[in-house]
Amino acid sequence: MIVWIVEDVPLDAKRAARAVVTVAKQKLGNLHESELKLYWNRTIEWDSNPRIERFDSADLNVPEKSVQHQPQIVILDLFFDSHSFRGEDFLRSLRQWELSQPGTPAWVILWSVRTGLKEVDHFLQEEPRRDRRVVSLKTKGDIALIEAVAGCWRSLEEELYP
Amino acid sequence: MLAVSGRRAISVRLLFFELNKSNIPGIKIEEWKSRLKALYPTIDFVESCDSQWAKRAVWMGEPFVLAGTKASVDRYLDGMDDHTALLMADCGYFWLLTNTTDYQHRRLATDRVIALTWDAFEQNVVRERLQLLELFPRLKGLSNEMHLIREEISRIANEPTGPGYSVLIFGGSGVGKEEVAQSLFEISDRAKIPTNEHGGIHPLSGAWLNMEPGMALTELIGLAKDRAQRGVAYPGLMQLFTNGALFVDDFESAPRMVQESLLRVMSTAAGKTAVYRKVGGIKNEETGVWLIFSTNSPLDKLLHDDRLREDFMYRFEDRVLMVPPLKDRACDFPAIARSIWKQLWERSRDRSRERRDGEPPPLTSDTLKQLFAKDFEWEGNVRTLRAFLALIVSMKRNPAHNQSSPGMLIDMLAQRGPTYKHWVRIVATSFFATGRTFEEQIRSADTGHDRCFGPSSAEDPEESNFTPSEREARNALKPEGWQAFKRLAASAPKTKSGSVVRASVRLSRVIWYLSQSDSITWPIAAKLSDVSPNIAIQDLKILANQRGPSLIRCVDEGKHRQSPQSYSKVQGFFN
Repeated sequence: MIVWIVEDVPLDAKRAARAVVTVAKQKLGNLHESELKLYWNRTIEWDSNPRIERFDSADLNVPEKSVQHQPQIVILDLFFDSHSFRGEDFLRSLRQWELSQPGTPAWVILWSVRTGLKEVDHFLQEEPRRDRRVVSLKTKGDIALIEAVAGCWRSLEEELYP
Repeated sequence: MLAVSGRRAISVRLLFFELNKSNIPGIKIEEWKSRLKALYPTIDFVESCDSQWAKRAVWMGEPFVLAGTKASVDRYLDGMDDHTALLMADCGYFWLLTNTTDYQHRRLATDRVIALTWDAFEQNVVRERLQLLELFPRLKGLSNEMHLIREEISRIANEPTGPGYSVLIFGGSGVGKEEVAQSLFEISDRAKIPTNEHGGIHPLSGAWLNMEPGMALTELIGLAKDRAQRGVAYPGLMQLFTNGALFVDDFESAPRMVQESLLRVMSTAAGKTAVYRKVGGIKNEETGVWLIFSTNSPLDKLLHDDRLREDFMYRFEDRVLMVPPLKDRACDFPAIARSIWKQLWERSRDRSRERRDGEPPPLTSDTLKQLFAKDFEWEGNVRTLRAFLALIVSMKRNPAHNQSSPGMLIDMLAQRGPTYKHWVRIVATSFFATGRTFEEQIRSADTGHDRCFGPSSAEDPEESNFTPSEREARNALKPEGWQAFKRLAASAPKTKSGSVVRASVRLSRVIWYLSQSDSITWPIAAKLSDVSPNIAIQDLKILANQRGPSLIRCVDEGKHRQSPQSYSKVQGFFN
């Protein structure tokens, strides 16, 4: 399972990673260390070669050269530095890039604090309607994230064989 | 992975699972396949060597071949779980292709399993069944029972058709009797006659004929010109479909007089047209209509209750089709469920504004097995299955359920009980079915209702614009309570941010919660609407401090008057 955490705050990225590992342990047992690959993007920016780092709880800064590993689940924070709304662009770029990739589009979990900004609320409300592989969480809580990751994981499992 | 050969539009697909991944000397699978292809050019092979795919073969809802050595087929069949074994035992459209002519296995009845050897080249066995399957696109399902029905329909349709060759289709409610009738008509010679030449099939129900008997008779046999009001004659269905067919569903509900008229038509000698007179007519009319009847009532009971003339049933001779209930046709389950799922998504996407380029979530083999394992009775047969899947589609289309796979949603609904009544009750009381706690249901009930967010006023909205929470509060309160509530909502604190739930919805959620429980605390109130403790406490204060017909009261007014922690409801205010 390949999971991207797109989050600017290291502490929140660690929380997200913990949530994913919790689910992975339930699903994979002892195999989770080898089967789960976590990557971290801390800029919430997608250029031609977005910076994706291999996430390691001991060392957060192991850089990867490029996006080689197509994600299956993406946990996406919407704000960079609590005021710059970059999440929407990132999601659009991801979806565009996925068109040229062989696999199915990733499940994207929108994991962000609700600021009340109109454009953000509209995005959070409308995007899951437009794109059925987007999950909008009401809070930036850990439990909600674990539930969402578990749900997406199961959906991926069910999609393996028609 | 599966590879589909050929680019032509698929008519009949044959899934082909090779259980031995590497080629073993002496195996002539490729030769066998090419001979089948030569015999049946429109076939499409879908090939796989993946054992995980092969394990799910019978859940795919398509005919399949398992090819391999005796040892590998043994291993495969030994490794099946019980539900898969049940389906395999009921399946009429799979073949074992192996290296022995007398293959048997303890988990498969000898009269069901068709073992072919690649040396014998008996491709005709496969071709005949696939052609039969191709002939009936309406009839889904691969069970042996459905195969026998297809064979019977073919036999009846190949015989002469007409008034003297009436057909009876017998089966419970929702088993698909009308589909059988339509299929029977479609493969008969009559299907070639266009409607403007009095062809086609016209369905009507016995209950519909149970109108004023004279009127029903007029509908059937028509009204002569000299008796018609204003001189307008009505030809009647017998004449309108004289080269087609009438499908009379639940014929026992038709009045006795109508039954006798139909009986008269059915009594016509084989190959002749029926002779009758229109209402008020003075000359004989002729009709060649083919009558197809169906019923879901036990015939002996109908005869005993004198709702059916005994000689009526003898007219069908050997033209009686029995359609068993869905539960007795285990192997029909995957194909029918997949077909319904596809139809439901097509229909729901037509109505919605969502993107049309995405594929609907798959109803996978594992999900189907999971649903089958619930062992529901499906008392309304295919109709119940359709209703169940429609609920799943409806839930899945709610963005709040995006991350819930169809399998998770099936679990959620199944938790509530084994019948449609259970599933629907949940939908009615909880807005949409979930497996969540009551608090979580309340919290998410208004998702997608724009009015619950933003700084709009707390004045009474039009009832048609109520959010689900407001509707629940309205239902929970007596009329005077609702009037009081509207005043309270106007005095509740306005929220500064557009993202926070507005006052009337917040209060509605508290009342909804109280209608189901004895008391509420401010942390729960805060959680229901994702608001700060201050706003939650203020909301509860507003509700608690009402004078006159107070809505809710403080549990311990003296202690918590200024800093309320917990409130309980005044029973009299709720219905």
